[in-house]
Amino acid sequence: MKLVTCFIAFTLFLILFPARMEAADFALVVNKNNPLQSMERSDVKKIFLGKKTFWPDDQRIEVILQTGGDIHRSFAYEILNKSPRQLSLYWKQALFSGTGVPPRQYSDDQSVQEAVASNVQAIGYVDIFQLDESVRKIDLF
Amino acid sequence: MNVAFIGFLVATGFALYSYKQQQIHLTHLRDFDFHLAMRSNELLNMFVLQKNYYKESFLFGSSDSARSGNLLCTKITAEIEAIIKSERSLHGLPLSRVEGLAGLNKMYNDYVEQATELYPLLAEGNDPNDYIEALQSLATAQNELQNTLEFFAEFYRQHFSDNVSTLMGLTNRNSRFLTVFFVLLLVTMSLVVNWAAKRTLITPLTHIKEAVRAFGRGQRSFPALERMNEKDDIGELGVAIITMTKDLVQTTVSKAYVDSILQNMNDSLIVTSNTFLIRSVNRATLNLLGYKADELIGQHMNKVLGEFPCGGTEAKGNALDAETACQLWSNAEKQFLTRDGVEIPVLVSSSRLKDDENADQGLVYVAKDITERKKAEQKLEQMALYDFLTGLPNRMTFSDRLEQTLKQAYREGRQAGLMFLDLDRFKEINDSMGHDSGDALLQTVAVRLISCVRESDTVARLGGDEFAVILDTLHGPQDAVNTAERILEAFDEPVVHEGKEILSSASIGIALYPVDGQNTVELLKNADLAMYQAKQSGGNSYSRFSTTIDQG
Repeated sequence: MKLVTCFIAFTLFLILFPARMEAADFALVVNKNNPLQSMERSDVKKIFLGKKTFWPDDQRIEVILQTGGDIHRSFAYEILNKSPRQLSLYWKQALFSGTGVPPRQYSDDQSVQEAVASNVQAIGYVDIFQLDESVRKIDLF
Repeated sequence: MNVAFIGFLVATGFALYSYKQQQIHLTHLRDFDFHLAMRSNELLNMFVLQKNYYKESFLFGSSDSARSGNLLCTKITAEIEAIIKSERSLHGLPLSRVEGLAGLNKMYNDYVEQATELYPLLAEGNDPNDYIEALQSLATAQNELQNTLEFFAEFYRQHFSDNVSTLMGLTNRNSRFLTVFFVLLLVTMSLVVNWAAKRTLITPLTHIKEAVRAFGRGQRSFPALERMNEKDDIGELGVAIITMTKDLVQTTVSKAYVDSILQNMNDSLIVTSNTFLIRSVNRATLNLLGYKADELIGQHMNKVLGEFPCGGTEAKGNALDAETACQLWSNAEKQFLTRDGVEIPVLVSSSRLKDDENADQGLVYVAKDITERKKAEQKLEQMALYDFLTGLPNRMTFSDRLEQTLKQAYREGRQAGLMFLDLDRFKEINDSMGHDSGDALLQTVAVRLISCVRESDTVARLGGDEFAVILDTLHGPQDAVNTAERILEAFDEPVVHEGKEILSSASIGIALYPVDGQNTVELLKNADLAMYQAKQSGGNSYSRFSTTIDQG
């Protein structure tokens, strides 16, 4: 009985407070030709919420989102301070009120990497363990 | 008064006018501005609501919300049309507004066309990414519409607020004007009333007040009062005061006049109360009796009258009628007592003093000093009864005395005697030595005769040189003889007059009662006869009556 209780408590804990998992298991990636090395977290937030839309060289930033998953969830919580649902609503709202167009979404890390690799203006996030050489990881501070 | 009335009318007129104005404004406000503001606000709210429904349907995929949103279309359209209609009914509407509203209408219709299709579609589950352009254009239209509606709502709200402010300003202005007007009116009225009051009340009353004061100081004519119009109440008061002062002057004059009379009259005047206490005295009384006024006032009348035959000397209550009746005299001879206790004969008349209600107020005594008259009377009496030259009883008195003596003698059963005396050769003495000497002789004879007889005897001068002596009490004829001899002896001494000696003698006739006469007539006759006999025998002698003479 004790074990089961423990297990349930642990699971509940995991479910309820997933954001407490400090381990940043996502990596922010940009095109290899993008000179960017690092970025402030607040800037990342702005970009992914459509508030900052241009690169320093005045090129439009192409935001890549994931449709779901753990990486998406942890990114959403950690960087954007939103749950995935909230994020989705956010972009819907923006679309509804014409303040912004929702970014493209891909369902897995691989697609994301491919999209980023092929677009010099793109920025996305992937599982850190899935990271490969086609994209550059930028550091967050 | 009139000023107030006119002012009131003007104020009322203006109040009515401003009220009318306000009414027009308010009506306009109520029927238009308010409605428009309300409607436009309502419109905005509905639009936002609709938008929110759509948003909800979009975000959460709720078909119900989309439907609700669609349902609002008719309401919103109706509202817009109502607004347009309202605006059209106004005259002089700016063109821009008309266009603006028309544009709004069109804008909405276009929007609605798209929205009613798209949103329900998306709510059913279609991927919004396929409709990004449509969504965006719709979003733009939405924003534009909202802005426009906000603009209109704000515009109408402002319009309404402005009109209300204008109205408030107007009302304020009006009320301020009215306030100023009323204050002015009040000031004017108080000035007018003040002036009127001054003219009709204060000035005349001041005149009256001054006149009354002046009257107290002795002024007797009041020109200011006489100028007053006697038609109004104050004027009547002024006239009444003038009349009063005139009457008062008269009364004062009368009083002074009466006082003068009372103080200057020669006769004494004393007024007493019903209880005979002296109330007032005039100057003549004080002079007559030698008192000061305060020494008499309050005193009982018996202090002046001495005897007080009725009512006693104490003051008795309300002593009227029987009490005072005995003090009512008409020209009665009384005695007044002076301060020094001297009695002065007075002629007194007294009467009851009555007041207006005919009640007794006391007594009035008027007394005339008759000392002189009394003296004159006495003198007259004297002269009637006594011989002027000698002071002896005259014939009349003698006659009286004789009768009295005889009566007394008869009653007491005693004797009395009568002697007639005639001066010898008086006529010759008178002629030779003058009448003065003759008079002196007579006077001396009188004196000597008196000294020869007793006190109870009477010496009288019957006239000319005739004297008579009544011997009151005789014990016998010898008494008469003795007296006669004494008299003759007295004649021996001459009478001196102006250095001259007058020698004379007398013839005496004696008659005794009851022997020589039973009554005066007989006695007189017989004494006369006896004297004649004495004279016949040469004078300077006496002779007793005897029957023989009578027969002779």
